[in-house]
Amino acid sequence: MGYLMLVLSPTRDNPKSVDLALSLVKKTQRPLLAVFIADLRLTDGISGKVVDIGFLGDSVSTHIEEAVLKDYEARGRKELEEVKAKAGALGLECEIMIRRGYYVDEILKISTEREIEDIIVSRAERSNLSRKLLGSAVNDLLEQAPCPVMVVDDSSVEGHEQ
Amino acid sequence: MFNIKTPLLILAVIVILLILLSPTPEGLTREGQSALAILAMCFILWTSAAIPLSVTSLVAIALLPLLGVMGEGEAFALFGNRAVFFILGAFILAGGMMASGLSSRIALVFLRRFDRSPKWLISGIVTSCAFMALWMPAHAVAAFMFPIVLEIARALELRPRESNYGKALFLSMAWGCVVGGVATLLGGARNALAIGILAEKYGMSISFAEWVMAVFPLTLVLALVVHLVVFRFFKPEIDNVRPARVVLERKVKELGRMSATEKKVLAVMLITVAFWVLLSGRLGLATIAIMGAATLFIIHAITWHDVEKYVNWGVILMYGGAIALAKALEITGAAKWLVTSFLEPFQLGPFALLAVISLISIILTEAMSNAAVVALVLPIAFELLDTGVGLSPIAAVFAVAVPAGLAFTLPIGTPPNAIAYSARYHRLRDSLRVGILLNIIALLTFLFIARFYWPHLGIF
Repeated sequence: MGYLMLVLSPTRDNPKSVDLALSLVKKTQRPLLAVFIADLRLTDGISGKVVDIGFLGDSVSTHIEEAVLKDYEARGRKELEEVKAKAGALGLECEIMIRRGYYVDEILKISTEREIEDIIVSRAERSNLSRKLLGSAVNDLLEQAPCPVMVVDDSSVEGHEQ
Repeated sequence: MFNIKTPLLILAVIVILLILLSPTPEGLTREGQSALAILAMCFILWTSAAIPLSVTSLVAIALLPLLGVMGEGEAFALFGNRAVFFILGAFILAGGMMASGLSSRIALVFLRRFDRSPKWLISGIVTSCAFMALWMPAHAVAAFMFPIVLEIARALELRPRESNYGKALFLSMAWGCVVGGVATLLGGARNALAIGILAEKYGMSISFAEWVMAVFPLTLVLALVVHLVVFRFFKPEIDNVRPARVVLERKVKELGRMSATEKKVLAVMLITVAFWVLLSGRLGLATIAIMGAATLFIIHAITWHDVEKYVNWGVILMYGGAIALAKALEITGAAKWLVTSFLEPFQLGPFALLAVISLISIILTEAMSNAAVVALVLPIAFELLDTGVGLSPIAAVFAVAVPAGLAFTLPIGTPPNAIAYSARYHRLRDSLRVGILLNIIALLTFLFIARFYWPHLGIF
């Protein structure tokens, strides 16, 4: 039986998505793969600000990016341990994983590496206009994911069949 | 993924073509119209950062001779402006402080004295960031303080986006840098850029000491205000900072004894600042800056490799291009035409004009690089002065450059805000809500100082 993949990231950590994943795993008796992605898109902007606007050298922005990513990963480890503990308390099987990379790319990579049946992601509250104008990684994922994706918003849960 | 930068680039091209192909308005020369087209392009590209700021400057400086605004020799010679060399020297000195580890040592030793309680630690961060930003660019201070603050937040086990204390730590870091960065010519290159544009137009200058005398009181008041505002809006949920003390103790221990290189950099920095304060009128700011930077190489305190790691050479292009654009607006009469066509009907007294210029600068700086604000607003402000309102060009320099450095709200406004935001310990709405309040207080304090303190210095 394939995994249900729960994806967390530094800016997308809605506790509702954890609850939803655990309830689905419990209902379907599938293993849970909880993944935290230290999203490089969040640190890409730093270089633009530090190098292009602040006129400091590359090594300064690399230093900051590395510090931020390490912090994201430490934060992710903590969140994943909490998910694992919750799953354990319910007697559910849960595997955890931390990845560093671009959000959509990493999810797609994991989907091909492992047998993933469903993906649960959460996203921050934003207007549709802002998503269209500035782009949305979750929208990109919905277009490219090889399996159904459930998106947990602050106010709702949307299911997207592929 | 959709990239908003491409439509913005296309918009810049359309706008420049539209202005160039329109009939030349009465009172404006053809060259002036071309200069305005370049100004409009710079405004779009500097605001949106669709391409690196320095590349926008490069395009602008190439367009100046191409569109017949000024000769090639004249345009490119402006890259050699002394303000550009002052900025370059100051960046190399700052690079020396970072490469040797001196900047981190000073910050840690300073911070170590404030690790008694949550509020004291916040005070330590605001004070050490503001203090360091007196000596080097504010964003360089944010860059080396950030990993320290991040480690403190982690040691205190603060929950990102939920912990008030986490928000307070990162916002105090950013805002400490911002308020310190306006006080000297070293805190932000925009200050030197403004002096460069002043020298090109009026042949006047502002010495290092004069700048500090005029602006330092503002920094003192704002540093205090930042403390109060942070304590008021982000009440700490923790009551001891023992884990942070452990982090700071470990970091100080890791630094070991002060190295010979650090001592050399410190000596050069102190001597250079002493020269700036005492002799900049006779020797020139840029000459002293370059001598200080060169000394670092001569005594083997830094290498070219270090400088390349810590300084982006685009700095020369950005500031050289900005000065060339300002000069083009002046010599073609484009800035004068803008003022007489759109702004002259609003007859303002000197203080009202100072207030309006400061207000425009502080608003614009939230959305664009503060150097770009100086490059766009100052030439127009100078033309306004020439209509005989009785405001001195030196007051106009302060009215543009100082508020342009006071970006408290958005990450896009200034690198310290962006660096702080990257940790994601606070949400945009946290910095927006409190930052706007800080902007208002900062502007009112600035105007109060201009009205009641500057007359004693002969500025206003």
